[in-house]
Amino acid sequence: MKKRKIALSLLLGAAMLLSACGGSKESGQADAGSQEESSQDVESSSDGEGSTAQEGNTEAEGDAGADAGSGEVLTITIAKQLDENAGKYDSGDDINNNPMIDLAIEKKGIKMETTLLGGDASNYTTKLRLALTGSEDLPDVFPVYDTQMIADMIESGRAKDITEDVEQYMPERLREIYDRFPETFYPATKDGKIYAIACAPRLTEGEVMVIRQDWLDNLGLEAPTNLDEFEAVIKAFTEDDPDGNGEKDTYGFAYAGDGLYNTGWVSDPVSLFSANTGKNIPGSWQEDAEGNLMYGSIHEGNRKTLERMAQWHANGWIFQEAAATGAWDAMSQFTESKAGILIGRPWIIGSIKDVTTVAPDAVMKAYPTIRQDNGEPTYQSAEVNDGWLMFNADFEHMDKFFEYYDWLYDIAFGTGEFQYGYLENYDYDIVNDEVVFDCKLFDPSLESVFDPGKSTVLKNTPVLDNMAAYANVAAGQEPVSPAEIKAEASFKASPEQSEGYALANEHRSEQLPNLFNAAPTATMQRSWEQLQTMEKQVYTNIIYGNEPIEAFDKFVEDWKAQGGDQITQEINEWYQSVK
Amino acid sequence: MGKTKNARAKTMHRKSWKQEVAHNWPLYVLVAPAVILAVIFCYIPMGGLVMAFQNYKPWLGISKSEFVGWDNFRQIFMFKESYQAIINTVIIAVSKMVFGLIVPVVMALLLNEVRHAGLKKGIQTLVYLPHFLSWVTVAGMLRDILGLDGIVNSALQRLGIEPIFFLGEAGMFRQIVVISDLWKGFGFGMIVYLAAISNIDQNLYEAAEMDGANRWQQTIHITLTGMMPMIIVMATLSLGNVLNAGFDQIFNLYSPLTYSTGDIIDTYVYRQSLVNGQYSFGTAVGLFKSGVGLALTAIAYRLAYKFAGYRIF
Repeated sequence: MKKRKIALSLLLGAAMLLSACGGSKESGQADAGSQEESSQDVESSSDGEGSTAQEGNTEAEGDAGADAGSGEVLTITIAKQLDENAGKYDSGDDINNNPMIDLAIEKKGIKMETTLLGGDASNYTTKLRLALTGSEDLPDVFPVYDTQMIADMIESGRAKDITEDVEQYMPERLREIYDRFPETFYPATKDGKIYAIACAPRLTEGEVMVIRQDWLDNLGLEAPTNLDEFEAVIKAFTEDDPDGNGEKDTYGFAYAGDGLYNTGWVSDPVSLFSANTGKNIPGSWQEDAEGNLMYGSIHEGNRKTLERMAQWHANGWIFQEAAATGAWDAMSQFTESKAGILIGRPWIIGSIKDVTTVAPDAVMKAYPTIRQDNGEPTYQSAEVNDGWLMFNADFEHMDKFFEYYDWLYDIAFGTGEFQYGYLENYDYDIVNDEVVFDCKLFDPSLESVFDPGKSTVLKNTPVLDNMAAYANVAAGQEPVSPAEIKAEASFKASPEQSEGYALANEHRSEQLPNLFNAAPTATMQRSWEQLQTMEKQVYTNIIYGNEPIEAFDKFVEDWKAQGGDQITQEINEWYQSVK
Repeated sequence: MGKTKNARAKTMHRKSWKQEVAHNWPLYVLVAPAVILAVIFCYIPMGGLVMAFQNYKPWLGISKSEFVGWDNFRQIFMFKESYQAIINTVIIAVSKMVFGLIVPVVMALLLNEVRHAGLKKGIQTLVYLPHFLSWVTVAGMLRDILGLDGIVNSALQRLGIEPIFFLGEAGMFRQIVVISDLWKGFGFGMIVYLAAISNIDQNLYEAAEMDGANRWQQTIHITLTGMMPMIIVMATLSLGNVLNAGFDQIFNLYSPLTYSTGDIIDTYVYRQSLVNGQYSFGTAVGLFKSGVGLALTAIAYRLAYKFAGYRIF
């Protein structure tokens, strides 16, 4: 009897635990609240590390303070999202105790101390949200990677109004950079006040059209420059056996169709749409003829491209599994030597070079994306910044921050003490009087090394431009700046890819930043996902022949009726207020 | 069984609470950690459910955020896309439940008849293995198998059938989801049922044989009847999942082409939450799902007691 009782109560305990936890797991799938809770567990462990790091650091502070001589070291607390590519710390070093921290203390008398550390993007966002609720301290300077968070920070009053500080303290050379990207201030502006600055804005490299040059040559074709020629080439790539193996195992164009038809980085079909819509590319908010913002996906021109793509799909000239393949995975179609054309950022050439293991004679060449029929270029999405920097409302040393920020920019301008990088033996080394950036070529050679540029409040070393240096080197200029020296090295290592960068530079005006970049509007919060679902469904089903082209007209009508018009109006009100 | 339990409950009732604790304190100590954990991690956070009725702003907190009544729940039912998602969820989840109940039982009965112990154990292990694979892996395998160059399509081509883009066919998506889930999961259920079978008194079979029952009759009247309590428990527990159609699986398999038949509540809410951090809406959906799950479990519990005379807990 007693035995049974024990067994019963144990069972009861187990059942309670199971059922209770099961319950929370169920709601947890959608419930942001309990998601935060689980990631909090992860945090507490990393916090543990953090606190020991801080302890270890108080000593370092004393030492370094003495080194600086001035004795006055200002501590600025920052938030940081860990970067998996940040390299390996020297033994004993950590996020708050490393050569880059010491360098800033020594040169600037500023100690950047990370007090809020996120493991990955979602973990970081969760921690920022917790800081917003007050359960964690909000650091002096913190990068924010989504616009809703910017809006929340502004609304909560925890973020600093930096309008005057930018006016007063931002160095002239930085101001010039920011003036080039006025749209980066849009999400950071409310009632005429500025609350954030973009993280080191610069135009990210644009997309190029990568074609199997050997296939073109085999068939005696030229690279396509408009939709009709594009059609001819993908047809030939499918039907005329470009690899000459006597089998019908190739086709024209690989792209990703599992989302919007504007991936923005690789496997992008957007230029095909732009050929008929001009600047109003799908998935992006651009100005219409009257200067009002309009959503590109409802532009009449998309109908023509969809109609064509439906034909191409039926003929087997384009990737048949695109609808279920993400942008990155779609690239494998090129690597497997099945597809002949791929559009994406120039570095894809490096990512797909393995095609030579399947087709040893494969030659890849970067071409500009096609033009519109009237000779105008086609457009694509531009990326100008990765996140924004915001400041705690209580932070009082904006002058010092801008001094530090400007100092980091020395490397981009090639001024100050940084000629090649921040720290010799870390982000560069001089071997036999030659500068090398690959740590495997260092003396002594290293597998992995701490990257100072990724250890600051920014995710990357600031650069002025991702493409211009390649263009300069391609034009035969003597490399001077660190960027140009790197570009020259890249031309030696992978010429096709570097030419792609130079080519993208020529076409930089074809990159359009999304002009709506603020937090979702009220109607968007309710209806946007439903409109996006509708868009993806209609576009994909038309291409796959599941719906007639008339479905596009119905889509535009529905889109407008089910909140789209309302959203357009709200976005234009916002646009007028920030422009 | 129910009778003895009732009787025991009565005797326990006579003892005072204090006596009971004093008498059985080791048991209370044993169960304490579990109870404390459950309270801290499962019951206290339930306070956060208030968010479902608020327009929650993190910096205002639960105490100061504005109450909006049922607005967030209304949003769930506002669009035809979300209706479609709910319908898909129920269809997929119920099919999974039904097949997930029948197949393991049948397999357990069949495997029980295998006399060769090694073979039996071997099969048991093999069918249990996929249970440990993550859906990301299985989805990758399915993409390869069902792809246009996959093994299924090569076989079809041999037969002169045009290749089919299985994962892009809205009409086949649910079947693929249910079958692959079955393949991955039935080994686990089977083991539970095999355990139930092994608990059946062997004397019953001998007695049945004496009475002239054949193999089939024995299976129906002894084995299946003996398994019944376990089947009812499993069925009741799975009813709580009627609105969980399996986020991991579907998220890794679906595409815009299959939204119409494959988009479920969880994937829809996931995409919705990508727009921004909609705390309140997310909580409302979670509460809605849990509410339906709880109601169904409670009903099943009552039904099981009423018709089968069996108390699960």
